Amino acid sequence: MAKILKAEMWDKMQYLFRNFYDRMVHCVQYYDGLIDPDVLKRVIVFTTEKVPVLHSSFKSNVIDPYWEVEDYKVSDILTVRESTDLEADINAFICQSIPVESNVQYKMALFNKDGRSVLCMIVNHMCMDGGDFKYFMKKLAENYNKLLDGERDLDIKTGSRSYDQVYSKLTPEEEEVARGLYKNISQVKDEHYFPLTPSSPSDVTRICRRKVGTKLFADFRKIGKSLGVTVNDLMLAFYVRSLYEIGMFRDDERLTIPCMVDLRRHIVDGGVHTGLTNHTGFMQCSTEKKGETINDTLIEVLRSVRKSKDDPYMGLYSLPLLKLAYTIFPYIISEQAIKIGYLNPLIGMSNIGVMDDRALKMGDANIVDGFMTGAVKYKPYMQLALTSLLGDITMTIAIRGNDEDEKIVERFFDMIIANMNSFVELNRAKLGSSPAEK
Amino acid sequence: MKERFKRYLEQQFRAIRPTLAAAEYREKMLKQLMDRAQELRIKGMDDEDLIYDMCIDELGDFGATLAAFDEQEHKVANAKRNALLGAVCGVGAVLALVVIYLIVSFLVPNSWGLTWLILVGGAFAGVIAFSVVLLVKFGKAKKYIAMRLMPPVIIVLLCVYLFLLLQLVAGVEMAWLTFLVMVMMIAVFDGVMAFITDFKFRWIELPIVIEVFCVMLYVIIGIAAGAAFWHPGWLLCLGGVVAAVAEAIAIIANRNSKKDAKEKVRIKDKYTKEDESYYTSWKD
Repeated sequence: MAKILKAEMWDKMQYLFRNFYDRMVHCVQYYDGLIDPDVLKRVIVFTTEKVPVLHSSFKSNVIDPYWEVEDYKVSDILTVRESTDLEADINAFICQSIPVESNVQYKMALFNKDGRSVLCMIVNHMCMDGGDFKYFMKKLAENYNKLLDGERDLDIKTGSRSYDQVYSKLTPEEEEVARGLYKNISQVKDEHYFPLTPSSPSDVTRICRRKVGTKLFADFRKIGKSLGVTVNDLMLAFYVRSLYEIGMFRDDERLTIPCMVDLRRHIVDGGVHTGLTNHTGFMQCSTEKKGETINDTLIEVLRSVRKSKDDPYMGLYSLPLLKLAYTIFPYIISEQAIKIGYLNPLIGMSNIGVMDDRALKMGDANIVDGFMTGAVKYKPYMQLALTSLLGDITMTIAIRGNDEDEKIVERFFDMIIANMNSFVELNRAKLGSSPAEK
Repeated sequence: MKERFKRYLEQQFRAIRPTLAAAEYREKMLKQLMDRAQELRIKGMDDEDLIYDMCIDELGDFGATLAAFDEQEHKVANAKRNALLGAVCGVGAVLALVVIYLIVSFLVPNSWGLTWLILVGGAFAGVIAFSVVLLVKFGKAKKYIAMRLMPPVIIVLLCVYLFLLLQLVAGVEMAWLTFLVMVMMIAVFDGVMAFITDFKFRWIELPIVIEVFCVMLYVIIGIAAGAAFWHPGWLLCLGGVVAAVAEAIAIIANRNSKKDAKEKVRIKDKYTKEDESYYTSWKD
């Protein structure tokens, strides 16, 4: 008899999100040497065996959905190929989608060219989010290196995938409060949308990306540090201001952007003992106006995010409401109920964070470039994802669109870069100053 | 900067009691000051002393703010819990009413035709209780217009129920006169409320209330006493007009008296009060 796994709350929620995006999370890592495919296969088999949800198919049962563990071969997961056109191969790979009925829920590709490897991976968002995806890639490299060194104590976390792990770091009193946060924070009436063309049959998956540049990133990060501002705050300010510009919103219009929050901050030890899963909430960033300069936009952003940052329960709102809906109703009804109450944000931002170059080293092959990005959004939804690696930031916007949409996104990237430059110019004096006391 | 703000706050907070709430408020104020300092830096201010001064200055009379904080009354935030208790009590009351209705209906022979009054009475009592709660709530919030809508709701429900009891249970003839009394009661209650809440047009409302009261009284007595009362009983309907004229006389007399007193003071000042500057001061 097939082994059954419980479908956790976030698995069901991500399944519901199939209406808004393709549910895939993507990662591409460029190396300056070759990765040994045989060693990689061993690591993949180890990891897949340890995490059964990765080789399970999702059964959308009307009462209570579940995962059914499936047989698989490593070739179902890993593709190894010599490449003649690296970028075309990478794009073709990452732009695919894995059906929930598939026997495996993640796929990897190893493309080799001119003595260098590129490791690509896509995974069903129902299995893990960006936070655990970073962990997964680090563990993959760590286990690969262990095998190369002749060690056999491979390791990957296999704890609970339950959503309520997010309460594990809270005191009993705080947990009681957090479990009563039924407020629906998705119900923010912001009808601003990113100006993409209307949907058409010719739309295809596109993962548009742009690197900021190490010099520019270092400059604005240094200025930010002197002002006591995080990179996330700065990126939000650049993003928001560019949205005002590309959307041609009035300068005094209120704009609300949800920014993804890693809920592992509420989990004991940052979630290293939980299972691979989703632990993502969001905080709202609302700017009342665009502001005259990029510094004014930054102040608007700070005023908004401070409220969230000061909230000890940041990101924990609505979880009890979702849990209640999935508990009291059969799945088919709870999904409809949640659909009525949930407003998917039209525009969002997700800062996946730093990809640790040392942790991602595989044998002698050093990582020289790479990025991670979230799911491919369907129009009119759109999200900017950010990853930083080796002192540079990669911005990605994954959409289903046409050539015109890609041009719009490229123009949007130009605007963000222009706003970064104007921030540096406006605060050039601070490049030489010492960091602000905080 | 942070240390300077800390020193300032520690000094200021010594003026109030060293409670946990005060400590939390102090932390909050430090964050507020630091956030403001950050904003000023982003805006381009690079003189740290000036930033400090501006931040402190923006606190205004912080001593007074702290004193107000210290005197503030803190209540238990139990509104949600009470609401839940109220809802459960409501459900319990409905259930109890249904049970009583069934028991009485089953035990008293041929009572099904009247026992529904128990359910209606319960429903009315619920609405009346809710209206009373709203009346108090609106009154406390000084939302007087909304507050004045509540007594008519209560009076209408009471009168309708009284009518049903008189008509169906007691078999009283002319029980419908209750509805005429109802109009009188609504008018009187609203008039009283207008004066309690200092309604702007209360003096205009007063004769209207008296007129409505008089007309209703005339009709009720006329029906009860018979044809002999209709004439000259109609003179009762002039009650409102009489009241309006009496009120006008009283208001004008009162205003005249106030104006006279004011004029007296002015004349006294003008012709008796002496000041050296009156020898030399010129209007140009």
